[in-house]
Amino acid sequence: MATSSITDLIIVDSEKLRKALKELETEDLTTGRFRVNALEQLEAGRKLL
Amino acid sequence: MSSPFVILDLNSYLQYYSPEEILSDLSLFKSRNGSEELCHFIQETFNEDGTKKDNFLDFENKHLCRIYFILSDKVNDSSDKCVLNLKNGAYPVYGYFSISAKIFYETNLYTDQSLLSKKNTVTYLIGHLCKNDSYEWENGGLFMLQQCFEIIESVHQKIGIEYILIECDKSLIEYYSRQHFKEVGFNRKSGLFQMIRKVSENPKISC
Repeated sequence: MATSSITDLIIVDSEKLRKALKELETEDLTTGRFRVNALEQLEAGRKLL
Repeated sequence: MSSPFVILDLNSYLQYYSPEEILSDLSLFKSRNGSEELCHFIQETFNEDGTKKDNFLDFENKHLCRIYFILSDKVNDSSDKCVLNLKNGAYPVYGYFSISAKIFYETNLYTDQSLLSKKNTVTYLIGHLCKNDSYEWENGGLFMLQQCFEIIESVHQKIGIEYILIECDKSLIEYYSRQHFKEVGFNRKSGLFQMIRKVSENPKISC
């Protein structure tokens, strides 16, 4: 990851993108091991200010 | 899962503290495995001609992204490592990440299209994900990635946008593939590979 990712133009390959989107259609993203309750952690962080 | 960490967004921090204070605190941030760029982004560095390089404060002030720090929820005033000094004491900084919106364009190498005719897709970009290697933190990178996903999920519920984009070097493709990212391109200028995954309404990380 890089700072240039935020500022520079990003161009991806059409064929790879089509293939990736097809694979992503069937991915189950909810079967991992843990959640971290990020929004609660954000609230806790702001209370330290 | 209860967590010994809190997240502090830079935007909120700057409402109470000065840029000089956070620059001073972050000067001890160290990343052994991350690139120098990831450390320099949160410090003050200069070009060869003496001009200041844009860093996290410039990006935050220009609203190019939002930056989040992972802090221990326990004060450690005696630490000689990177800490953020807040009203109740010094909180160890375990890492940081940035999230922004990003449009990517599609190209077919065999056609010569102008940019305006290219298809484009709006995504969430995880632009930095950097662990402070001064602290032992097993699965810290995955833990931060999960925090990114959950923050993105909360924005997704309000405004939509279907995909998350990252750029990474070759050594990290397998790592991100395990988290359901798919390679979609290569940036010759930066030498980084582009990968995307879907935003999930109930994202979970696989260790």
